[in-house]
Amino acid sequence: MDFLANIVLGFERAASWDALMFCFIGVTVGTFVGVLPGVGALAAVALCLPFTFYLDPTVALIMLAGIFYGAQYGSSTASILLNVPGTVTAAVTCLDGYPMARQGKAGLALFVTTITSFVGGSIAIILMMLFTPVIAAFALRFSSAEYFMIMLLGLVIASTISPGSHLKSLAMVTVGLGIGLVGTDLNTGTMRFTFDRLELTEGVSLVAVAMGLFGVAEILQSLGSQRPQPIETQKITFRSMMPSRQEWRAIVWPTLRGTAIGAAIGALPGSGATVATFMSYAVEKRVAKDPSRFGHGAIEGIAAPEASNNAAVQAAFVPTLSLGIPGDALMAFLLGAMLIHGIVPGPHFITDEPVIFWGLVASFWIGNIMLLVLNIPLIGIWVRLLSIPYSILFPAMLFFIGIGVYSVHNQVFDVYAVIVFGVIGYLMNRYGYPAAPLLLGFILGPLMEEHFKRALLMSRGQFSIFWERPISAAIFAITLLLLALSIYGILRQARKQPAIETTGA
Amino acid sequence: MNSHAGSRKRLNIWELGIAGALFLLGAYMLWQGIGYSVGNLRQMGAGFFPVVVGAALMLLAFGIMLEIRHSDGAPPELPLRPLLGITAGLVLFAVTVVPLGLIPATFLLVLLSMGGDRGTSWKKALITALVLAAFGYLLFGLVFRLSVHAFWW
Repeated sequence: MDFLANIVLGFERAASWDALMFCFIGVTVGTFVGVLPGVGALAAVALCLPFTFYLDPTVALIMLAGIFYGAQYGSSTASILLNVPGTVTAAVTCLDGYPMARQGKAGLALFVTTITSFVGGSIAIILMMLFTPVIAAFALRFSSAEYFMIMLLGLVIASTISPGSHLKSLAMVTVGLGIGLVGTDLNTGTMRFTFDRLELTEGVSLVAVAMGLFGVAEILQSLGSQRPQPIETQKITFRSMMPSRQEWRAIVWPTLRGTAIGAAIGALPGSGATVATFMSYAVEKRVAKDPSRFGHGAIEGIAAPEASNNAAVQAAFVPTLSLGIPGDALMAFLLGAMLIHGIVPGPHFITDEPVIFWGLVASFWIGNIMLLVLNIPLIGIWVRLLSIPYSILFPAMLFFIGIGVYSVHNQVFDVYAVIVFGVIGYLMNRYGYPAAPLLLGFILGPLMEEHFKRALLMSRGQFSIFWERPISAAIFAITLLLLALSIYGILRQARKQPAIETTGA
Repeated sequence: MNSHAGSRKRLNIWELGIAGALFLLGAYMLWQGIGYSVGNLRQMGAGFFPVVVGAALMLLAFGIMLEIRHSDGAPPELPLRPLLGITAGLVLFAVTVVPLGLIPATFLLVLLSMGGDRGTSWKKALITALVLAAFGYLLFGLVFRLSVHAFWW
C-alpha cells in the first residue's frame, strides 16, 4: 500500500524531535496571536518567516503552518470573552459566543469551539490526504495555459466574493500585480520599476509588503479607534466547560455541516475561511427550528462556524500544495514562504518531495492534538493573556516588525518599505480597498506572467490556446461568467440607488 | 450615516482623489511599460505585462470614479498622532539600527511609537522601551544570533 507507506513516512518525519518542537512552537505562537485581538495570523506568519531561514524546509513549513491553523483555535477566545474577534475568521463567533459568556457559559463556549475546531480540522485533514494526490495527478496534464487561467480565476473569485466594491478589489489585484512586477525581468534581464535602487532589483520584499499591509496598518487602525478595555479575567473551571449530554447532541450536526461547508469552500481557489464561517452560520440559522435563538447564545451558532473555519484552513492547503495556487492571502503568503525555502508546490511536489508533503500532513495531526491540550486544560493562561494592555503590545509588535523585516536581507531599505505599505494599508482600510487581493496579486503576479508567456510561446502567439484546450476553456468560461455577474450586479445597484455608500470608516 | 438629498449631488473629493491616484499609477505603469519594449505576442518584451496591468488599472480606476463619485464618505480623520509616532519610530529604527546598534534603535522605536498613543505616560513608555530593548537583544542577538550589534562599539 503506497498510501500507508507514505503516511508512515510522514509520521516518521513529523515525530522527529526538531519537527515536534517547532510544531509546538508554531501552534503556541498561533494560539497566542489568535487570542490577541489586533494581531492577525498573517502578520504572525510574516514575522516568523525570517527566523525559519536557518531551519530545514520541512520543519520551517511545519512551524509556519502551525501558526496558521493554531490561530484559528485561539481566535474564538477573544470573540467569546470580549466580543472582539481575535482574527477576522472568528467575527461570526462573537454573535453567539459573547451572549453565552454573559449568561455565565463562557467555559462551555470555549470548550465547544475547541472541540468543534478539532473535529472540523481533523475531517478536513483526512479529505486533504485523500484528495491532494488525486488533484495533483490530474494536474500533471495542465499546461501553462491552464495554470494561467486557474490563477486568473482565483484572483477574480478573491475579488468578487468579498463584501464591498468589486471594482475596488479588482483594482487592488492589479496594484498587487504591478508591485509584483518590480525587479529584474527573468526573461530579458530588464530592470522594471526599480528606480535605480539596488535593493529593488530582486523585487519588493514579500515580508515587507505583508507586514506593512497586515501588521503596521492594523496597529494604526487600532490606535486611531476606540479599543476594548482589558477584562477582569474570569476563572474558568474544567467543570464549567463540560457540555451536558443534551448540549453534546445539539452540536453534532452543526459541526458536521460546518465542516462540509468549510472544506468545500476552503479548497476553492480565491475563497478562504472567512467566507466559509459566514456561510455556515447562515446555513445553521436557516435549518434551525427556532432561528430567533441565534444571536442570543445559540450553541449551534458557535459550533458550526468554528468547525467551518478550521476545516477551511486545512482544506486551503489542497490547491496550494497540489496546484501551487493559493486560495487566500494567507495561503499565498505560505506559498511565497515555500518558494523562498526552495520548495515549489505543484503537481510534482507530492511525488518529488514525499517527505515534505507527508511530513507536513502528519504534523497537522500532531499539531491539532497539541492544540487540543493547549486550549482545554491550559485555557486559563490564554484568558489571562487578554489582560495585557494594547499600549504595551503594540510597541512590542512594531519592534518585531522592524527587526523581522530588517533581518530578511539585512537591509534598512525594507524597513522604509514596511512604513510605506503600512500607511498605504491604513488608507486602503479606511476607504474600503481590501488588502488581501493586493497580496494575492503580488504573489501570483510573477507566476502568472511566466505562465502567460509560456502559453503564448507554445501557441506561437495565438490567443486561441486559452479556449482551444478544454480544461482551460472551461475555467475561462467560469471566470468570464463571474466577471459578468459582478458587472451586472454593479450596474443594477447603480440604477437602483444613485449613491453607493462607502464601505470604509 | 444619513444621507441628505443635497449631499448626493456633491462630489466626493476624497474618494475621487484616491481613485484618481490609482488611475495615474496605472498610466505610469503603461507609460513605463512601453519604454521597456512591448514586443509582440510571439515574442513578448519586458513591457508587455506592465502595459496590460497598467491599462487594466486605469480602466478599473475609472470605473471606481463612476461608482463612488457621489458617495457620502467623510473626509478622513487621520489619526495624526499615532501616524507620526509610528512612522517616526520606524524611520528612526531604520536610521539607527546599523550605526548605533539594536538596543538604542529599539529603545527609540518603542519610545516614539508609544508617544503616538494618547494617554501613555512617559514613565511607562520609558520602562517599556528599556525592557523591550533588553529583551529584544537577548532574543535576537543571543538566541537567534542575528548579525546585529547591541551598541555602536
